[in-house]
Amino acid sequence: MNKLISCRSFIEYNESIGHLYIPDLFVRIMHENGGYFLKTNNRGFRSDTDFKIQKGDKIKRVMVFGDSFTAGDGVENSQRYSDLLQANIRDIEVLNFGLSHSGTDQQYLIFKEIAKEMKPDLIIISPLLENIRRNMKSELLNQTQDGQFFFRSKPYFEIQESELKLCNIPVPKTKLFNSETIPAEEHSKLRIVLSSIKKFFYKNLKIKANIFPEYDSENRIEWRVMKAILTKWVNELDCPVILMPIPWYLQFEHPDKYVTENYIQRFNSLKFNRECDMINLLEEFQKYDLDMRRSFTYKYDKHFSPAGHIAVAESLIPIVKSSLKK
Amino acid sequence: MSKRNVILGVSCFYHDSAAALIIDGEIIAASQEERFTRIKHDSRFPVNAINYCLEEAHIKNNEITAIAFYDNPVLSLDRIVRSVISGYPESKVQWTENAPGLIGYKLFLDELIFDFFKLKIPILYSEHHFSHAASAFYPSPFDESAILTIDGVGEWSTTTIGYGSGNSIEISSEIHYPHSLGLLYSAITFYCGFKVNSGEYKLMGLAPYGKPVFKDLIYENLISVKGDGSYKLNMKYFGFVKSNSMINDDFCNLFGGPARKPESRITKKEMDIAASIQLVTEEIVLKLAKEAKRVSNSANLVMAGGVALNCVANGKILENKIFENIWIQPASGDAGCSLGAALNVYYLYFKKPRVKSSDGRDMQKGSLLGISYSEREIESFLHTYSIPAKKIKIEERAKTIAELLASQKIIGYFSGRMEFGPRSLGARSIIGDPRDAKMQSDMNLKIKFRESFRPFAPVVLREKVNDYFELNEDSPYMLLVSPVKKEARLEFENKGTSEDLIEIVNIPRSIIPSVTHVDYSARVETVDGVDNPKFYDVIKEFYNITGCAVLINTSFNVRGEPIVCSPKDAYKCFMRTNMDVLVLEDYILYKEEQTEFKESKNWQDEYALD
Repeated sequence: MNKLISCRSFIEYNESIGHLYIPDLFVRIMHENGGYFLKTNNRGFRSDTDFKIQKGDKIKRVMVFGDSFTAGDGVENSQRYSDLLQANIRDIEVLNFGLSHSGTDQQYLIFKEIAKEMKPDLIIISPLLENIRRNMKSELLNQTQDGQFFFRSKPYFEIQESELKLCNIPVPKTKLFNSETIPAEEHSKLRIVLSSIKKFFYKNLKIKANIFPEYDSENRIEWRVMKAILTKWVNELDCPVILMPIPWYLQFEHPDKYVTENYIQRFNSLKFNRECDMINLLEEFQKYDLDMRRSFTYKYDKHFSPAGHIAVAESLIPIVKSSLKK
Repeated sequence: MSKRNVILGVSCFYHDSAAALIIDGEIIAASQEERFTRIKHDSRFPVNAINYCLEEAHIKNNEITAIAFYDNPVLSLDRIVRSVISGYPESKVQWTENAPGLIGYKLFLDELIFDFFKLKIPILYSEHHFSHAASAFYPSPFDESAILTIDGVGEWSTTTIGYGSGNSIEISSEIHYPHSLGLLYSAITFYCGFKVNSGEYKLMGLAPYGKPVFKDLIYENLISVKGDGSYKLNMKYFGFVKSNSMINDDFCNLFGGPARKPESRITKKEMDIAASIQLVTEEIVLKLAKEAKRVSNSANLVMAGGVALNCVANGKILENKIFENIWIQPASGDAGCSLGAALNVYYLYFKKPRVKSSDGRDMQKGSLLGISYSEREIESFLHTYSIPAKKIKIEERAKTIAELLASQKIIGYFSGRMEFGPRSLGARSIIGDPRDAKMQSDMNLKIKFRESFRPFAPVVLREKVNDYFELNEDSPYMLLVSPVKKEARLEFENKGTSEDLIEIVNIPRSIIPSVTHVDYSARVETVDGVDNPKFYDVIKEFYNITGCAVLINTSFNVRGEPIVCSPKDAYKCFMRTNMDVLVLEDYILYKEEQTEFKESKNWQDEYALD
């Protein structure tokens, strides 16, 4: 079908972060939900209002960081869990710094380069479990509005002598027409065959599928990088923090069929030099029946649906309230 | 606050699919799908055009009152079934080729709309020629008017005469398929080696190079015309009822041989055939216009349908002073039916009072109804891809561009909302200095990569139009052809004697040779500064510098490519061709400052030739 995502680009190059949304944009995105509007503010984040350095009197400022699940791919700004928090808790403003297709490294850099000066009272960090892979890459496979694949460069951290070292800065720019540069392995038949074999075994041997083995061991390099980024980030803050790892949809729909203990164990093992609440969405979502959990994402797009955002917001509200009281 | 009446018009599944959106009778947005998908004449369901219309209007799906479809698929199916039965067994190919599209999509439009937009609201079907008529009458500046629609075919109708008054339209007479002036023109387009539903414009452009020596042959064999303009085709010579070919062996024999192969040399024969069918078309259109005048007794005429894009014929109606005023829908092809269908629903179904502008202008807004890109988006594009560009101060913009034009630079001009309809009107245009005789062939061959004979249109300051052309009317949509004024002409002897089109084209014909066709005609666009003030300012500055109030204005694309839509499309086209400068809103890009442009594939393979 002749479907573009939208009539316009909504991402631009940024030499520190890799990419950001184009500021002051109003775009309609085609989607299986019938389409939705994406609005960005003066700083290039999805928001109906501009972010100001100064906050209002008696207003507590909450900031949320994450990737497309936080930025709100698939829903309008007002339907996101961040905006639902603001609507349901008095005297707070929630600034959503979510950025689609970003790693935790980029989310941390957004905080450091842009958000930090806005003086938060509470920070919510929401890494999608898959971000652990993005953190390891210097470029990510993307798709243009007209469906062409290309690689977009990003900054990343390496652990050198027990320290995090920022690499790929300034981030190299993307060439205008580079769709032919996709490496063969991204679409290789072998990859598809291996994936099918894995699925077959998981299904027939009734063993739990491990989608994110990167969380299996404390010593895996992917986890070490994730842990280092989060530790550095939280330790730099002088306000309360909530850490909310976002599981993959299969994990919260079928926790009996997919390995989840590994990532919970890893995140629970984190030690910071300040208080940090952790929200276990997997556990929170088990309050709902399977049909309801299935409604938290779309049929094809596995980002949160409006129902998913409501469920996340409901999990967050009591903890945000109590964190702000501290 | 009362709920707004929001109507989404859709045309698709034949050619040039499009969407249009009106709110309380005001045209808010309209666009062809091809601009987004980059597939010329894209006929698929216009997902992207609809998406754009909703974006432009900031309309959520649940705010749409109704969807208007541009024709009646049941009547179209009726025509196809009857044609197949009447021509069976030869005609069964008609069924196998046409029915799946019709039954597969048109009859299940509601499901498609639900799939893409999750909308379950009434879909109202407007008849095809009613859609054309509405697209012509309602946006026009007239309270009442005769209406003439002529195209290939829509359901059964091919030509209609009607009358519009206030919020109502009545069709008084129709000519039915297979008798179709549009299909006759298309058949000859095909015979001359051009693509049907696309190359008709080339045939019209070729006509002045030839002599109408086949006119009698056409009247004697192909079409019989009555005094009131009604006509009948002699189906012995046409293939389109029984097959999917426009013509048959009898047609070829009539013209003394097989059809010209596409891309082969154009000979005197094709030029003469083009001149002949053009003259026949003009004569029939004139008769139809006279009949429309007789039945309506109106001082005004509005027109739509593919044949209304024949600006030479339109110019003849004006020249003959049959009506005092003429208004032609700039998106006269089927794309414009999306707008017409929406307007039909608003006025005829919802019975709303007519919405008109208070200043007497039309409601088409210069046909600048398409997408625009903000300064921030342009900046982002340039920054993201490290494209060298200079920002011009707004007060220096027009002068800077005019100076470049005066120094013979050819400029890709991208500014404001994109045009709705097939003509570039100064939003997505290539512009140049018309005073150089070689500019026409140079621009055709080095920039547009198309046939050298293709004429370029002039865009002229409204207040100066009569200094150059035998015209003193508004022609904002480039739909009227007018002769260049005698005092602006130069002696020109070679017309009709040579087959070397480049040689003919390069001979100066007037003080604005690049926009003067070989018969001294020009397809005029007037600009008055209301709908597109930035474009007006550029021409005005060019006039201040050179004393010439005219520019070349041609569509911003290469051959076979839809007109550019986005900054990226514009930059690609700029870099692939020999344009000197690209204006992206308030940024100027100079070719010599750009980095080398490499593509892994030959871009000319990207677009099918038309």
